Amino acid sequence: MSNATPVALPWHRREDTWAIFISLGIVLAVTAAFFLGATRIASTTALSFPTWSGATAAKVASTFRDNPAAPLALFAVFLAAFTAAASVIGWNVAKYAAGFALLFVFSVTVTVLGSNALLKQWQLETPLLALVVGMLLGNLARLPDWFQSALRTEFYVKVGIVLMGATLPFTIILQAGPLAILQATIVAVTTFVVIHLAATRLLGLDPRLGATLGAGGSICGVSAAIAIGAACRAEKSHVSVAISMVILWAVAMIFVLPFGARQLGLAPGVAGAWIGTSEFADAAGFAAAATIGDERAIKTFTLMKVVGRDMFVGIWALVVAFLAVTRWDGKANGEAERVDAGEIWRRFPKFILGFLVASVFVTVVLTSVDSRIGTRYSTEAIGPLKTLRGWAFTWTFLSIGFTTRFRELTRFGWRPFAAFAVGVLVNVPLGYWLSTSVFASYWLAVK
Amino acid sequence: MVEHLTRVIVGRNAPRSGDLVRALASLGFAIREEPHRMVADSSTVEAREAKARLRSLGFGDRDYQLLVEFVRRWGVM
Repeated sequence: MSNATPVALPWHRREDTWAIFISLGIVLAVTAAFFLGATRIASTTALSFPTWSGATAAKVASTFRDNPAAPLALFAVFLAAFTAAASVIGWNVAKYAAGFALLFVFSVTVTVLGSNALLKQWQLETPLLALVVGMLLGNLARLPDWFQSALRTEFYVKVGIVLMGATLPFTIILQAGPLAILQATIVAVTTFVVIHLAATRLLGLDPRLGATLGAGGSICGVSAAIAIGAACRAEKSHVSVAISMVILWAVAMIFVLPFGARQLGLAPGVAGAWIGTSEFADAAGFAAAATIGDERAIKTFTLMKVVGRDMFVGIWALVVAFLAVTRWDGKANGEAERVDAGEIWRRFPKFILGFLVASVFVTVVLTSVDSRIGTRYSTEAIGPLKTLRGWAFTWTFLSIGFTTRFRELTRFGWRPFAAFAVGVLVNVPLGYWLSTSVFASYWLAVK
Repeated sequence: MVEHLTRVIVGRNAPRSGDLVRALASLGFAIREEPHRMVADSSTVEAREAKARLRSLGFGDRDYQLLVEFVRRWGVM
């Protein structure tokens, strides 16, 4: 057993499992507090800051003065949950806890600064500020190991996505889901085919590298590159190149897509759908959608990215695995390997189950109480959940910034870059056209 | 940017299963026994390399099941 890595972790040691436990636990706790008349617990933990300017800087001080327990409560709740996860997953708990404490301080700082009216006017709200601060420090300074151990981008974004489920009624998912799947499928199939053809026919790259690049550019970014790379037995170097491509373009799109949406005067729902169609990674996409500064953009982004694209990575994996064993690998003794339909479940991103359960749970609660209580539940329970979701995303954005090392992302040949760039040239305009023309009325209707 | 695991699963009743497991062990795979199958894991041998070596030793693609897992290293988005 000496050379086996702990790659195939059991279910209870996976990030997805803990993201689901933590987020659903929070949703249940906030709901229980509401029905037990203890909503103050939730509102105390959900720390938020008003917009302030130079003349009204006292507002920030009064937030701390009026609710001095809020930062400590927020920190304590997530520290306890995350360190419990860390101990079971197998991270170094002491280093993780110390690192998270510093990450928390950064997150409070960028949130206070991101609430400044002038910075908001310059479009430097919390998501972009977190990215910029993280990128500057991550690329210019050497970060201590104990801090780096807390930069868990994927873990935080999964926590945020499951909490997102609690703020997105299941009725909206049912109404807009099929449309999101249709739009996502059009773009994903087109982009995948374009990148794969460019990589293999134009640039002479290995078909497995072409498939891994295509998956990263069309389905769900790094997760797709990993899942499809594994399904087609790509080489480790193929997957690393595809990941570099995804990160480079995803980070660029965090700035480009919201800027483009503003310049083109897109409505928030339409902008979110475009970002959901054309961004390359969940974490980066949430940063871009949050930059629009409107809840509708986050909702339509989530519908497009999580419901329309992420859910189908398992099916893509099965198709690509079949292509690999029948077309790319050749056959031994006239027989190709068997492709196991279990591939669909194996590659399915499990945190999406938590997202759906959270959405169904909150929808059932809202439909089983009278409208007066429902309105209060939306304000006193879903409101704090939105704020807590915002904190999970702020840790995500900071982690993206701190871990994006541009020097490490440029170690690849020009051909993978060119193949991916061709995909971007198709993906972005096609996503724009579908979101603003073909399906615009649906995205505008999402409230 | 990723760690990888190549896993070869051999049914206990598969033809030449003993030879196959010995071949995998000689390639550096770590072998463990499960009730109805043998599981061989390696984080150094890549899947295509394993498949090519097994073919060169005369094993068919359907004599075993090949799985690959990649896991992103710390911090990758």
